Amino acid sequence: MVTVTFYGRLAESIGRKTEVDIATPCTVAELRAELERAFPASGVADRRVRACVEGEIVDDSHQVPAGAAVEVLAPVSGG
Amino acid sequence: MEFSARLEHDRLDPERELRELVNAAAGAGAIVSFVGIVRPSGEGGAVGALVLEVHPILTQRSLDAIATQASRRFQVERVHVVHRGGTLAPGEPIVFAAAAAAHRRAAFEAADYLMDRLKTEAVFWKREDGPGGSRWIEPTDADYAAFGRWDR
Repeated sequence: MVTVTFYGRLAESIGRKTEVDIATPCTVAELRAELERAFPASGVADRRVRACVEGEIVDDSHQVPAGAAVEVLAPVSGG
Repeated sequence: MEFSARLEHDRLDPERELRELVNAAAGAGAIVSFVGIVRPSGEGGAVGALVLEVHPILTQRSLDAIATQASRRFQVERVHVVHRGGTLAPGEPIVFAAAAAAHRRAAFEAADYLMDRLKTEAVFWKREDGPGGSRWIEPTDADYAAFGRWDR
């Protein structure tokens, strides 16, 4: 199980936080694919969407362990 | 080459920030400042509120990075950035971006650069709420073009 927190328009379409039932460890790419499957019209498939773990932006190859907390960020608006 | 970058959750007071910069940059020959203000209407119609969502770590870090890079790129003595987060009403100041330098050209360019970077890279998610509904904001082509000119 991975806890995902959403920022920006993704939080509006999906909700602020969700638990994803996924076999772990998994990659960020696999987690994104599961989110796209579960929330197909949410905008999570946008290639500009980024994942953040412990305050660091991570790429699709990053390993996500069981019980991890991942933040999924909509494209930033700028200031 | 010093910088100050702050995320502010209460009302931003541009006059106070400018005074603070003037005091901190004693001896500078030039100070240039910019204030961004919530417009009463946007592409979606009348704006009731501008919501600036922040990340607990990345937003401050992006402000620090932009201010640092401005302070290094230009011959400035000090860069000062304050950016609001939270919910703002039309007419409220959103951002204060300023630079102090020995001479005006560097101060103008640093302040211009700060805003072009802030408008495209600062980690905020902006939403305009109004009677016509909500609209999420993304940087415009003009914002990206303005940012792109600093690469030349």
